[in-house]
Amino acid sequence: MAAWISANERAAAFEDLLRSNEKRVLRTAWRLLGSLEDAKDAAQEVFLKLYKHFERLDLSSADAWIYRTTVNVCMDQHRRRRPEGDLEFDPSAPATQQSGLELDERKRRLERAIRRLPEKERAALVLREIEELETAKVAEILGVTDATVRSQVASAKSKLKEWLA
Amino acid sequence: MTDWLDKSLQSLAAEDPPAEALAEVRSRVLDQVRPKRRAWLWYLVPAAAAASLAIWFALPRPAVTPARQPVEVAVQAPATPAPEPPRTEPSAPSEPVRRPRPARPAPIQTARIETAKTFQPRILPTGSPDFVQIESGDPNVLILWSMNSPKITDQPGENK
Repeated sequence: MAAWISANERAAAFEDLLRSNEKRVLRTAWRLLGSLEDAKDAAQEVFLKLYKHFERLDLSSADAWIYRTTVNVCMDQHRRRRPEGDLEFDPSAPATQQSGLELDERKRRLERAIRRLPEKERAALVLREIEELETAKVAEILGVTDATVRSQVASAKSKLKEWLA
Repeated sequence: MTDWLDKSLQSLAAEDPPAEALAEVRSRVLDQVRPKRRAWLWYLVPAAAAASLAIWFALPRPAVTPARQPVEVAVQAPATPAPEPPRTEPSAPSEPVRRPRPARPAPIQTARIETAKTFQPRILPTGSPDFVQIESGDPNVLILWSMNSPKITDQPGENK
């Protein structure tokens, strides 16, 4: 009975952590993978890993752990997926147009372009520019130096400009 | 161009995943981590109780033995020194004391075997001395033995 209560308490605490992190985990996975369906699978895997390590996890560093796990799970999943084809750009749509429909289309193109980036550059770009984390935090999550993060982000942006020009 | 790229990245950052997707992920995760309710246990408990009752009724009952009456234990009086037997002076030897013989063991009871009742012919007196009436086992059969019957000899031809 005590074990059952303990399990219930554990599940309740985990549910709180899940609700407070689900949005950023799913969003990060979505940007890293470019597909919402794949992102849902990845987010589920992340939270199951979180549940598995829940009792050993230091809640003060839970954010970094969750982001790191999300990146790793997405990278593994991206490697298992079939490589995407080349980006299809419409040459008749100038990049300078700002209509809502075109902006939406550009977003979709940008998503696909991000998917083509090398995984480390993609992770650095998503965490720094989309999740808007500080460079030091991104460096901690990815296990690299701040300078490396800045370099990877710059390289990623350069490629995106080239592909989307 | 950089301005456009930054704006596009910011628009991606502002776009949250749909609430349905969040709910689906949450549901999938919680389904796997919530402790199982084990609903089958609620069916198992009465089933086990019924099975226990059935077994209890099916088992042969041992004969009920009356409760033992409490045994009364006599309170022993405090130990007192036993009186010494009176001393007798040694008398002159008289006849040797015969030790009592051990009682003979009782004869072994043998069961009498009842044999089948055999017929004992009885010779009854008859009015005529020439006949002897013999009672047979069957009351309807009367054997009369003629004393004047022809003499039976061993010689052939003499029996008439």
